[in-house]
Amino acid sequence: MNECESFRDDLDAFRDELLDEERSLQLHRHIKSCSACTAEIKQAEAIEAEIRGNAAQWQPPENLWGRIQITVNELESETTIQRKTRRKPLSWAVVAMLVVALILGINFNRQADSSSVGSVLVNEFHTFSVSRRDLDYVNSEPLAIRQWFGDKVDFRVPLPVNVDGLNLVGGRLCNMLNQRVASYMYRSDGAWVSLYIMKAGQSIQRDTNQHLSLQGYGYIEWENEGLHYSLVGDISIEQLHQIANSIYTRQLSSPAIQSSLPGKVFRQSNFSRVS
Amino acid sequence: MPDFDWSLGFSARIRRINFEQQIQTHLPGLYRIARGIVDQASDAEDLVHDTCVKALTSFDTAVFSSEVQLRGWLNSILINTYRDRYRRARRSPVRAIEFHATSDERQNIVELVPSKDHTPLQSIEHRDSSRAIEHAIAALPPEVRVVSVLFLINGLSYKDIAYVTDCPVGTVMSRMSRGRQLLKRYLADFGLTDTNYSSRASGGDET
Repeated sequence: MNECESFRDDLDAFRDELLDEERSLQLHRHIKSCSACTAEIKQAEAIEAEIRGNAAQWQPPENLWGRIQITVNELESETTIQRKTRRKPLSWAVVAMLVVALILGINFNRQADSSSVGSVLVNEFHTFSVSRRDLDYVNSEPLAIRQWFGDKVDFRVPLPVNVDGLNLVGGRLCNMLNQRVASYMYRSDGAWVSLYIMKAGQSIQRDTNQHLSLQGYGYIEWENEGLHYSLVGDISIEQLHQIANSIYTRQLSSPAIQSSLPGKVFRQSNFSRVS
Repeated sequence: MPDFDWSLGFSARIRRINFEQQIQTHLPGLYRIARGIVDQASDAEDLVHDTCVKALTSFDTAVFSSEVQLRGWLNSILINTYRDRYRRARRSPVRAIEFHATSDERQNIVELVPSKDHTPLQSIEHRDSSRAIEHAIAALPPEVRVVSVLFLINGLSYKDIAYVTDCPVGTVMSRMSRGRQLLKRYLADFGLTDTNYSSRASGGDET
């Protein structure tokens, strides 16, 4: 028994092949004749195999690489803009090229629009919908959901609103557009509806074209009391407007609201029905 | 004279695409480390996100002669990002964490502070082994957890871990030893007794 205890401290080092040859040989001989130490080693190996097997199931979300690229593109375009403002005046040749390009009607803003808030959120929503990922927090209690977001975002999230025909089911924490975004998740007849909330600011590039609706999702955005709200859903735009109305009428101020449908741009000061 | 060079731009672009592809292949490994060392899946995503953004924006200065070097560099960024976040969280009054270490243990605060959200007793209801393992890992002190995850899950050698965590090999070994002891104890607390594992190890896991 005493012999066993003297070896026991070295069992891990023996498994990691860290012992010198002599000590390793001693331990090897001992293990052959000691069922307790053999069991100890087998148990440790089994625990570690279980840990490895469990971790093998941890796979990165499908949209993670896309999110990384969006952030990097945003950072790099900021750097490019800063660099360009420091540049020497353009040569005549470059000016001439720009004039020709403008005459030909090349839309230089198209690239910038692709990373605007609506397209980012709709892409995120689409990825979530198709990946069947779990919610980060499952709860239908508005207060509990607000508390869950408590210290996860750097702004005070409003209390989630219960809307007729829409079930509040939980929340997700997203990292987009260089900030953490709270997402209240609703279900409506089996379809997902997500209300994204983030701090309003100059870094948010609002959508002014149909690009964000290409994937067939409804999208409405508005700002209120320093927060930017975006409602995205796999439901009709009419239904989405009703939901937005319900949420909005519980908010005190009346900001301008933008919404967009495929191929159309709407600017309106309230949630009147889209026709 | 225009202030750009078309040929340099083209080769840099090709190098950039290769660099992105290389980093992308390390995404699963990075995510496994992150998932092991932080409590929430969303935090793991954020950690990997920030790691890769840092790596990609360091493209101009990053030069690697092998995949192993690149992996070590990425792992180092991830661990440093984790430590920065952890220290920031500790400084924040909202997320203050109780510190239970004795005075002679205070030399390495990050190593010794127990996890804030998980203790073996609180999580004892998670009887199934995979949940129990996740909780047991989460209950490890942060630096012990980092070493345990890198060694057990990602299969890094002590030497590689010493490089990634920027500490001596002896420290890595003692943390690993502590991690093994604690994991064994926590798993026993969760109800995964010695016999559960002994029977699995001997092939007695009947289905």
